[in-house]
Amino acid sequence: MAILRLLMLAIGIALGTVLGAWWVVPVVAAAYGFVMHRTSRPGFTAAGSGALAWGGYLALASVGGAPVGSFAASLATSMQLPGWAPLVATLAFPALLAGTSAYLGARVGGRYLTPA
Amino acid sequence: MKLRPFAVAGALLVLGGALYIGSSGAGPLPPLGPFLDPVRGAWGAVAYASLADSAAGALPGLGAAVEVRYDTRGVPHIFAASEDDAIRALGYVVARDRLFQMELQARAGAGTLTELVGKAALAADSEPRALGMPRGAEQKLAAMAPGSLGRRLLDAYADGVNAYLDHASPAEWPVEYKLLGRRPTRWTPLHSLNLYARMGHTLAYLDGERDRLAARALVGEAAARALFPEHTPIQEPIQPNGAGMSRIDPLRIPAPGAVDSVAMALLDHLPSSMRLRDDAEVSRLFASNNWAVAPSRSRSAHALLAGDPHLGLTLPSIWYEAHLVVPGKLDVYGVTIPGSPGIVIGFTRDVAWSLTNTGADVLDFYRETVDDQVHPTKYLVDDTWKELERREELYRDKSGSVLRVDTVRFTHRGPLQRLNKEWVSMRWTVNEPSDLVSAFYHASHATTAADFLDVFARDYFAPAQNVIVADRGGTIAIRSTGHYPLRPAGSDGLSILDGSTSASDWTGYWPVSQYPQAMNPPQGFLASANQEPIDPQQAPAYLGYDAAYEPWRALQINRLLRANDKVTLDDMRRFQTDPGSVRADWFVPYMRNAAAAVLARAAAPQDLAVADSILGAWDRRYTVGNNGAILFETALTLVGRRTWDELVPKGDTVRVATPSSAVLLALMADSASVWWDDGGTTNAVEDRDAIVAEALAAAYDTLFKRHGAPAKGGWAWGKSASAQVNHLLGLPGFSARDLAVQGGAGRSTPRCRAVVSAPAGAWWSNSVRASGRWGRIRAGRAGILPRRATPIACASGATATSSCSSSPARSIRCRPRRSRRD
Repeated sequence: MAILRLLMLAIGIALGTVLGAWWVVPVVAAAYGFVMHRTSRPGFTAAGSGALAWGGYLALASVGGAPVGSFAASLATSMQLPGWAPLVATLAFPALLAGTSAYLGARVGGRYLTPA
Repeated sequence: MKLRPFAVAGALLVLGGALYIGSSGAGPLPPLGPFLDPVRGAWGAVAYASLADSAAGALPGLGAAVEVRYDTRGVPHIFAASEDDAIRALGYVVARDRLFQMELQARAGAGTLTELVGKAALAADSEPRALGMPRGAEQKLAAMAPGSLGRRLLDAYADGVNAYLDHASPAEWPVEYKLLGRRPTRWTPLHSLNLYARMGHTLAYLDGERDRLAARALVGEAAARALFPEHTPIQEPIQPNGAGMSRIDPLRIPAPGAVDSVAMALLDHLPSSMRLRDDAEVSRLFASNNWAVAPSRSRSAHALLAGDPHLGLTLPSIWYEAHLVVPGKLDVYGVTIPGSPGIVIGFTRDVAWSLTNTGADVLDFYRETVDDQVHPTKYLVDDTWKELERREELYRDKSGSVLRVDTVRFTHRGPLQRLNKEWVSMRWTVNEPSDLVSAFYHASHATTAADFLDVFARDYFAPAQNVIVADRGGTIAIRSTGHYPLRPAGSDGLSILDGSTSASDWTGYWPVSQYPQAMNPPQGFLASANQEPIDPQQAPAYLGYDAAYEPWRALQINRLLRANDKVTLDDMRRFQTDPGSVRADWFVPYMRNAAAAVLARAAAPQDLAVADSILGAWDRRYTVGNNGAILFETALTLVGRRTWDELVPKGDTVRVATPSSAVLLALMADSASVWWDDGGTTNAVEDRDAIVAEALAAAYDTLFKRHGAPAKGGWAWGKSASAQVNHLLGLPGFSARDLAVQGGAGRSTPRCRAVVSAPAGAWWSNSVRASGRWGRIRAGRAGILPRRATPIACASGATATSSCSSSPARSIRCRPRRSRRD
């Protein structure tokens, strides 16, 4: 179930990014945390989903022939960063947004939805 | 103690920080959210790295459908029903491939780079504004009547660019916008004119007055005139003089004179950018070649034409290859400059043409008398006070906030600048009203070489270009085309003139009949490579000065052409990458003789014999693997440094100006000239041989320390003088560095090369990297794209202008966008 939740949330975040923009990530994750506040560690699940969503999008593009790896290297060199930096940042940023948003959403959900 | 409150606070802090950096960025980082967004951010570049096999779009303003077909080199072939539609489509496809480049170059001409990259560009922006370039562009646009040809084409091009912007999603924007956290700006006709101004600045902002003034400050007027003469001592003019060979005119350089205190006072306030580097050759970066061979000297009995324009190596290239077809009206193939509505260099069914920079002096300075030294409002001309025009120049940052406000004043001549305590105005043909768009349009419709030159001379203003043309009838011709000022009698164009009298003003422009030119010369060939256009013995008036010219490539080209009276297309292509050097041929004997003379004396510099042997073994060709070229170039640089030490102010290390290598060669003929004496040595008076031998030995030592022993391979020309093709923003990840190339020291490697045989059956050969590998496509019949374009063998990685693949040709179909009433 945890894996399923992670995957479903990742799909939701990915769709939200495609249809909206990057800022949809914390919104979706916060909503997840609010609703699923009783599940174990919703923040970690959301963090994983965030990374999976954006990383999965790039992976699909790469499988489709897009030069993700070489572009990442060029981008890193241009920004004077290690070669792995752009890819790691692309995974870490949504993970951070989603994880913290889901955690805070869960705290709010637990406060207001938990029966007295 | 419960940790939950701390965890919540921590999570809030982290989320807040991430949202802040995500939306606003931090320091040099762009807003990370839009940047890392895998759909619309920087990663969008990978999603659109490959072109779709076909696409369709609606463009407003199209009169009928336009089809764009791409060959396997990625060159768009545009088929339209009208010329306006062809230009619209050109704007569209160029925007699709070069959007950021277009905006960057236009902003560079307008002085609005700060709006794109921030306040770091303030210094870069202030120069074009101080030179009056944006004002000049606005005036050119205002002078174009609505509906005129030039205005129509500018509008059509802008329509096409903006249509692409309307179609493209943020994901398709170039990655540079993502890195800068900016979005593309909509294109207007003014942007194209700013681009032209930028090109004018690149090619025609030559201020010989400053060289002379700087030299005069240190060595006096007489010596300064000799060091920076009007005419180059080495004559191999563009307009053949009938001699059939080059000529070296004697040049006597008087001994250094007394310091000129007036000029010295001005010298201290010359912008530091005017302090040239040591290497005189490198300072002439923007140099090009073109030549044409008459049927009498070609194996095919057709006229042949070759052109390779040299500009700074960048990624993407300054040039964009395209083909425009309007059946019955237009069929032109060539290169355009992104942002320019038309083909700049290319060929049609009837004519082929190419350009090199003339280097004419089309700029003069005037010392103005003003009413107030701090905030002038008037200037004096012929005892009458005239109002100065004031223009507020606002510099804005990325968000639109004003960074700085400058006031630029203008006389009737042009912009006014303060130089120490003097106010100096400038008149420059680049700022004069002109219509380059019409010039290139009419050129591409010419049917004969004579017609081509005439329409071009009528419309083209600046920067002056040596235009070579060949036609299907076998005529070859060349004309140095641009508007050349007629200066007052007695003015050599290299002095700062007295602005208080109208007698200092230009009285008009040269008549076209007096331009340097030739048609079907008896010698059977024509060539231009930035040398002096006309023999001083034939020149009707002052055109330019030696330091703006360079004779060496012309000497080499003409040597090759003179030696071959049955030239083929393959010969022409081989000539374009020929690594020979007349400069080396003429200077090396002096170096070797100097080495021999000094070795015969006591106490010769260490390693001189080794250096001499390397030079002796060198074939004087700049091939990738040889060791001699870097030794020669380093030695020549050191000869210049030691010789022109009088041009370094006391306490400084940089020369105020550098005489040309042609002047240095002339000095070589005078072994005992006082200029050879090293001012730093008080117990010896050096002669030519001592200085040259010392420079040669020092060059060896320098290279040994830098690269090790020659046998280790570090001296190889391809390694030690490799080409650097830098991204426009200098991004290392998107540049191509350390490319081994053959060719001379200027490093102004061609950005494109073309060899054309007239008449039909023309071949376009384009080198896609500096190593000179070749490919060809056959130009198809009008309106018919070859079913399969000949694939190009090209090396990967060097440039991004032409992508090579084995995929089928791709196409875009553009249809008119219907209005709401349809």
